[in-house]
Amino acid sequence: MQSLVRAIIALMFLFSTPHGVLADDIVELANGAKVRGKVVSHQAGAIVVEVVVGGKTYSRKYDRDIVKSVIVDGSAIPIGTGEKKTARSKTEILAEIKLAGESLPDWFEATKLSYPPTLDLDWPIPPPKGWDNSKNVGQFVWDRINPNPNQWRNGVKLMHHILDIHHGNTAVTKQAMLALGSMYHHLLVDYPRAAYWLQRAGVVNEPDRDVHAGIQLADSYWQLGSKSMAKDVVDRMRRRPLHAIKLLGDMGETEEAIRLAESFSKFSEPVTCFLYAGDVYRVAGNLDASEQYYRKALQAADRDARDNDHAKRDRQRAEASLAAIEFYRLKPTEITDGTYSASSLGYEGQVEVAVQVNAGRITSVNVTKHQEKQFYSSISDTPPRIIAKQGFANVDTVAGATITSEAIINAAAKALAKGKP
Amino acid sequence: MRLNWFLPMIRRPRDGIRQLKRRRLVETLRRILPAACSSDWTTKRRGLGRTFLRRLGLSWLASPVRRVVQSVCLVTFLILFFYVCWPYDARPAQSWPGFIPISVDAVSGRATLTGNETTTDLLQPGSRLHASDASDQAQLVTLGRFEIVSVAENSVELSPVEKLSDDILAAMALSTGPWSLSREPLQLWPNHYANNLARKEKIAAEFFLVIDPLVSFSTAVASRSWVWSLTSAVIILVVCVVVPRGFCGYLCPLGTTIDLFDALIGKRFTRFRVPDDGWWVHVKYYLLLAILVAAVSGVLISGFFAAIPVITRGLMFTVAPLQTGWSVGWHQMPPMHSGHWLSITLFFTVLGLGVLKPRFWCKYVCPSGAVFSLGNLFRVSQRKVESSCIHCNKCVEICPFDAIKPDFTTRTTDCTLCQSCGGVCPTHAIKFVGRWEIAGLKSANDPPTGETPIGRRGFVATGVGLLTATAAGAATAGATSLLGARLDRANSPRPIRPPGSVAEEEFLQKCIRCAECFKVCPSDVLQPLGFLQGLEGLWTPHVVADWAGCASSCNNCGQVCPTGAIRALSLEEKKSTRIGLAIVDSNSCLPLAGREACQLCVDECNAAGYHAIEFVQVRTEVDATGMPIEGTGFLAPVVVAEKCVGCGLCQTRCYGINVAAKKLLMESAIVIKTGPGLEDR
Repeated sequence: MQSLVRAIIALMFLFSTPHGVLADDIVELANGAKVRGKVVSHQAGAIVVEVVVGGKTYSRKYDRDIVKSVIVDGSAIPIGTGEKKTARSKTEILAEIKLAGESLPDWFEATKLSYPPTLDLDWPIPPPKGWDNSKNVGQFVWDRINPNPNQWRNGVKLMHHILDIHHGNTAVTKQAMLALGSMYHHLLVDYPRAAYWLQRAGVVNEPDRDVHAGIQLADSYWQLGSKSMAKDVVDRMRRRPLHAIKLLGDMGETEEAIRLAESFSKFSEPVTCFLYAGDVYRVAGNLDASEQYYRKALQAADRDARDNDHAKRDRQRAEASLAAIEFYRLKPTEITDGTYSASSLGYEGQVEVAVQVNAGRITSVNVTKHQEKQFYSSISDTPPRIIAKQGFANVDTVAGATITSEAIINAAAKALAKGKP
Repeated sequence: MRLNWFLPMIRRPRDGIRQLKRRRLVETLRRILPAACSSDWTTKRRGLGRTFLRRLGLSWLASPVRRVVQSVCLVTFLILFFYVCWPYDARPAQSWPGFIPISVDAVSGRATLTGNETTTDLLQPGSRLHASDASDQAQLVTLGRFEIVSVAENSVELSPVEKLSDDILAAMALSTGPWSLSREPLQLWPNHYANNLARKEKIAAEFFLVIDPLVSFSTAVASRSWVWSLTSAVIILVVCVVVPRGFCGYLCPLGTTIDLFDALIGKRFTRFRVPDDGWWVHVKYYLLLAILVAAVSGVLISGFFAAIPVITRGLMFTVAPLQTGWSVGWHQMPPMHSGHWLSITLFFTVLGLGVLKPRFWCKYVCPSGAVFSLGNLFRVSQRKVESSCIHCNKCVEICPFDAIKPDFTTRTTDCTLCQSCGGVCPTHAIKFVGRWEIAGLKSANDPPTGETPIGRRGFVATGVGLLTATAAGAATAGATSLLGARLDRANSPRPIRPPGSVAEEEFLQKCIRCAECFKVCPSDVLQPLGFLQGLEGLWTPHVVADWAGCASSCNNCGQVCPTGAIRALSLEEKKSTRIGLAIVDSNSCLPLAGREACQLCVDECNAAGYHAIEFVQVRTEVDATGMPIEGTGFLAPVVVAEKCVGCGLCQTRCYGINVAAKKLLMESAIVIKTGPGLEDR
């Protein structure tokens, strides 16, 4: 209703104001970009802006995550993150879910359905013995759809195809609906549709029958702006998967999340639990506590893993998280003057980089040793970009030479980390 | 018809007889230039020009035009080879990324962007740049050309140069950024290597190769097809009807290099000198015959001996690696095998023949020269000696091609019209005139040449020579194909050929082994084949993907191929031309074998823009209910055959890291295979 009124007002403005002097709404994005136009909706986890050029209306949807502020009719409106996410009412969210879920995504028609001809679309549950991703639908999704972003739309198409051919067969359709919800949730990040299909699969009533689906539904509600609906789903789950830690952390329930992690860590997968706990603290801005948990994860990796293989993998994950936190903290202003060098894996081998810091500024970045045979352009082009940005977070990689570029950035970050007082 | 361009010897005019005829140009020059520059005809004092030329050498003084043309051609050849065919100065299109739009006027298209200090530093008000919007990561939207209105410390204001369409205006207004500004329209698919060659190629990089007629003739005969460079071969042959064998005397960079070798090194070793006459003097014709006989049998061996391929390949395997090592890095020098050394030996043998006689190769052995010698039969001009000849023998001594008989008349098939003899003749008896001018000539066979009309022995000798050459050509052809590629066999080795190569059988008949494609190939993806296909495939280009992968922005090999063995593809065509298919070895691939996580090949393929390697989850563990356990197993590569062009970048990466650096594998776990159905040829 509100948006309808706004749209009418917008239309009135359109006709009443002279050419080009529209009192534009302003959407400021996280990267500093400002988009001027008519904000026609700011409800569904996204802000939709329209502009009229040459009598034609163009619109674009901006994900809430990249939006910093929205000014409508001259005054800022709350769209925010964190606590403000709970601002929307249950009716509003359910309406949005219904609206989105009953329509198909705009790319759906253009997507070509492809799957191996050997695939058994009857999808028996449980699957026959023996893993075969060219025969069993679930295993095909797991092996070939999930790891490849350019297969995700195909995956959705396949599930709709299965829904069509098994119309009325609840066992199979429920399975397909769960899969659709899961794909929309963690592959395509389309929360209204994720919630729609999870609801249709009956997850609301039995959230812990499939614990992953339960958490996905709760997270979808949270992402759509209702902490209470999300909390309600989580609270009704007697069994909770490890993902619950992350969700609670995202929702700002830091203490509960940590409590959950601690209690889980006593009987299953302590490394993952501690890593999640570290993530929870990092999201909450407590980098020290976060680092502590990552270290705990590292210790646990050596101690508790099922076998060597798992120990190695867990250790790598913990180390990567620890490295990331270093990365996160790094500012040249906090570095003692001097020259530091470190190396990182590039295209053909280790790329060694020397970074010079002078009076809190990165003054030079030099590639001192490398074996790169191709894409040498990044060797001359990436260092100036690091100097320009005075950091590593948003340094653009050199077109066509991403791997060498990234190696230089990583090596430079590692080098700089050595200069911490 | 007068074709004299030599510098005649100064001769003191005899009183009362006749004054030397002076040309108007010479007279004008004498008047303009200071007296010291011109020679004095009465005292025979040389002017500065002559003194200078004399210091360079007698041949410079005698026929400076020829030496200057030779030098210009050699320098041009070296520039084409070492500068134009040098890909390493190519850079991706210059652009300034990372601008964020903060205000866009959807009506006028004026926009204000913020950027960081370095980006705005580089921009000047008034300059015109292309803008593109990278909001959508999958697709770069080209916005058009903009003029920079003003540059502030951290922002820049743009105004469109041309009127923008409504769609573009809307895209600008709704853009989240970042935008990129660039000198050229920015493209997602890079093209800097292709552009680099196109920009530098003022004249065709393969110019000297296409004017070597043997290159195009023999390939056309061997492959029984039209070869595009035949046109230029015909043109040069027509030119050489007017300037007989002018290619050898003036243009050929190998000949000039041999001249340099002879002047610097060859002349110091006189004890190996051979007499003027001997069995070797007609070797070039027999060699040419053998090459053509082999070509008729469908086997191309001309590349081993034809003049320009000999020098391009010689330089490619000797100087070019040093050029790469010196300016890019010594680790970039590709390894050498016996094939390289054979070619290097051949090159130095060609030069070294100079110790037997100056330009021994050109005079007696070079089959390309033989083509011109035969072309000389149709000459319209030639060297003629007038009756004022005093038998001083100076012309015989200076002739670089042994083209003057003992009676001072001309061996017409050997004369290159270099005119050195005219320049040293003290009586100005030598003229370069029309073939049919006969007035005032000296009498032939005085002094006697010792030449007789071809007798029975001569006839027999020639016959034996021709027969031997034919037999040798046929035998070489037979042996080469018998011990060669054997394409009729299913399991014969199939090297990966450059993108755009014609079908393998035709390729072997058309590839002249000039090494030009190696030179122009960034990071030496293309390297000469050794003896994998016997002699038949020696020195032909193949992709060595362990060493480097084919750069996505490059189509240079086809652009410089002189015979069309590699077709000149546009970058758009090359992008989708398959040279092979990447095959993952499930026994050794680290994640497939369950050893460790690795996604080098997938990253590489995505970075190159092909997106032809996807992931497949392998070795997933299942719980009691048969459900997969998250976090178990590995992501392994799976090649999407429809998208893979066989560029080999994946193999390079796997080899470079997993084999060479980490020593985890014995050979790359993803390799390019080729063969029928796996390549577009």
